[in-house]
Amino acid sequence: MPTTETYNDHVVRLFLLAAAVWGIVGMTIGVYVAAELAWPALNFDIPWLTFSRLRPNHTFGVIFAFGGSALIGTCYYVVQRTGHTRLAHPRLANFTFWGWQLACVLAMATMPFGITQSKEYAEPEWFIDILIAVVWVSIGVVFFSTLARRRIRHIYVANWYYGAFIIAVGLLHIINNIAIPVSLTKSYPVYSGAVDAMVQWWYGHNAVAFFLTAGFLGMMYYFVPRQAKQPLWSYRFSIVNFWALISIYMWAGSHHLMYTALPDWVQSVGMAFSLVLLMPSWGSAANGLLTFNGSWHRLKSDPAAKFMVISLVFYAASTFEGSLMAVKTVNALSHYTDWTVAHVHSGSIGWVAMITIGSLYAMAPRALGRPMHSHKGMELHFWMHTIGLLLYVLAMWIAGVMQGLMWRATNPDGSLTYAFIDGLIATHPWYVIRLLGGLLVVGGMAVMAWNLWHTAADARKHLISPIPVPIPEPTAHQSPAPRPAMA
Amino acid sequence: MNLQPFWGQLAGVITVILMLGFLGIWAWLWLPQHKRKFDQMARLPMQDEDSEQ
Amino acid sequence: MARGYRGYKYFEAIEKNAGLLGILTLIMVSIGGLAEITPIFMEAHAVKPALGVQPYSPLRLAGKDIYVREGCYLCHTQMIRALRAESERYGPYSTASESVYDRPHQWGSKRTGPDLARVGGKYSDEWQRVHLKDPRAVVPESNMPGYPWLSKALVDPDEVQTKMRVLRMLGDPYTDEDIAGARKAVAGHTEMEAIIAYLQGLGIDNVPQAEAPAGAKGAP
Repeated sequence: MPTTETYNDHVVRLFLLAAAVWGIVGMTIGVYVAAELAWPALNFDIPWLTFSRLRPNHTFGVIFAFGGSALIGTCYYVVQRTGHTRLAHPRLANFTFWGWQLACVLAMATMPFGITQSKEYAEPEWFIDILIAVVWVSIGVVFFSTLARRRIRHIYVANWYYGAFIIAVGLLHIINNIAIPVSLTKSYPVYSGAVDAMVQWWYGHNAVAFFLTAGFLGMMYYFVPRQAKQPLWSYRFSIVNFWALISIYMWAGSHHLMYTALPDWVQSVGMAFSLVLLMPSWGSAANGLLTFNGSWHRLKSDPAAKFMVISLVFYAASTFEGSLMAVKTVNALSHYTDWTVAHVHSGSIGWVAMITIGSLYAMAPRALGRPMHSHKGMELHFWMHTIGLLLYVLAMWIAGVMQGLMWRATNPDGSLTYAFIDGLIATHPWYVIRLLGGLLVVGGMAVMAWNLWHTAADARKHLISPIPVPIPEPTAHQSPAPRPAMA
Repeated sequence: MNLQPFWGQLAGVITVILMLGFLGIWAWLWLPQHKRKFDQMARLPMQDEDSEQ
Repeated sequence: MARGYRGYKYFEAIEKNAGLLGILTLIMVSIGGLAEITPIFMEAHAVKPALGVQPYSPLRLAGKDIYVREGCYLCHTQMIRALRAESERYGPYSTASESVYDRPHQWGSKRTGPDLARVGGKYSDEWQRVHLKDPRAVVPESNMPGYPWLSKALVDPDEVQTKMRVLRMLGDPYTDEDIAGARKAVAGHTEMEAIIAYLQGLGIDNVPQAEAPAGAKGAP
């Protein structure tokens, strides 16, 4: 049967471009706010340049604008490749791109001016939340419609993770953001006090679970085998981990509220499930790492594979750390300190950013129709990113543990040894080192942008020939029968 | 929290059902007759390269 | 279809049916959240009437929303944990009833600066004003940014009134007189005065007098 159907890589390319741009924007803001913590005069008494107004721009920028664009882009890429079909609803797919970018721009443009709900990682106000919800449902429609028209009977496991990511994030976003508007720029949530805290951290924790974990695991389960050039170590194990991960993660949110005014039993449940969570987390990490077994030599020549391996190591490390920090006695020391910041960044710069960058380097040559412009550029990026990451997390680990110890230190008579400000003074040098780490990471991103720009030179000059969908001859008893090519 | 006995027992029953379901998934996946299909699935990511003409 | 093993074809159906996979995923992810949030939600509704604490006064309400707008929660917590060192530093541990009128809650997750749950009355209004304007004028080593613009802007009386109406809709017990008097209560006050009023009431106005634990103390 002749193939006349091609993959829709146009919208994928748009999302990749957006991810690269937002990555640089979000991380640059991160570097700036890190500098403000070391030298507070850097806000120059300008409201929108102040740390407390700008930090949500860093978190929203890297999680939702950078991570979100990368996730949706790769999701569209993977669902087509593993279903041997073209993306459904091309217009709606384009809408999801422009709608998502509009939501990100609106959020980034309003938060520094104090238009915020003050719910961590859900700061944008109600009108942006509605837009996000509409775009998110559209993404779900595009994704599941594409799955419905696939030519491969079974749904490849990466799509399970992407599917869970889309469903759970939609659910979390809508429930956490139910609010009554006071005006265009202000709303009050329907929840208050302890209930709001529980809903907020159910959301906050599971945004990590389903946005930063399930979504990126989807990416991992497709791009790691592809880059290792051999099948997953155990396909079956990935399915076991899927059901374990999605059913356990939702229970663990209350570990963000240990020793607070939340009922004790909820804290204990959160701690117990956080410990159990280590198993599917390490299961996924091990599955990814073992996939490289037998092709470790590829690491020497392939920077994309290198990014992926280090990302999996950091995924394993930060999920272990997360379970550790959910133990109440450890949490008593670590909570409210920069240890949390270290943990978040070993997960985000280590796991999330590195699996994304690895996948970008793996996918760009396919989507742009030629190999990456500079191999050395990718190598340089890898080393800048890795060193930056290590500087960052080591500085914040040390600072965090130090703060925790100083806050609880007591004299023999039972009085406190240190005033609060002593801890801050002791932290200053570590804030400077953290800033250096952040600068290296952003510098690496700039190298990547330069590299992608040159790789895309051909794509900008003339149209890339679209990649055809392999449409098989129908076999006996195949259900559903393979769809004929679309015109 | 004081769970009423009914809710406490329901929680236990649900936990057992979920546990059995989980073990069932595990058993199903490792049935020998499914191996070929899963191996096929696991090769999907490599096909992107092959389709290049 | 699974050849031979008919009993197992049901799981296979999940793998082949996108809709079914989606629905089962939705069910699995919902269980955990429902199990933890529902009982707290029920409990919170039972606690409220017994409280006896008044909702925010108009000026403090305006101040709280400035606290939200400026993003203070990113560096300051309002949740003293039930740990000895915390009580020693900040005062008795926080209870759920103290934040029932906080929409959203301001418990926070990071202490770049100290906890503020019981900061009310620890410093004079004048100290707070100088500190908010230029923190390093009173604490030389502080890394807190200055918020000098708060002194220049006035609280909008109409907005405060609208906010109180919305809050009443959500269940906060404001009376008609409270709402009618809101404009007068905030008229002419700067945002700086509003946020200071808010801060000075923390740990005082939201704690029922009978409930306030004895021997409340704490070092700055």
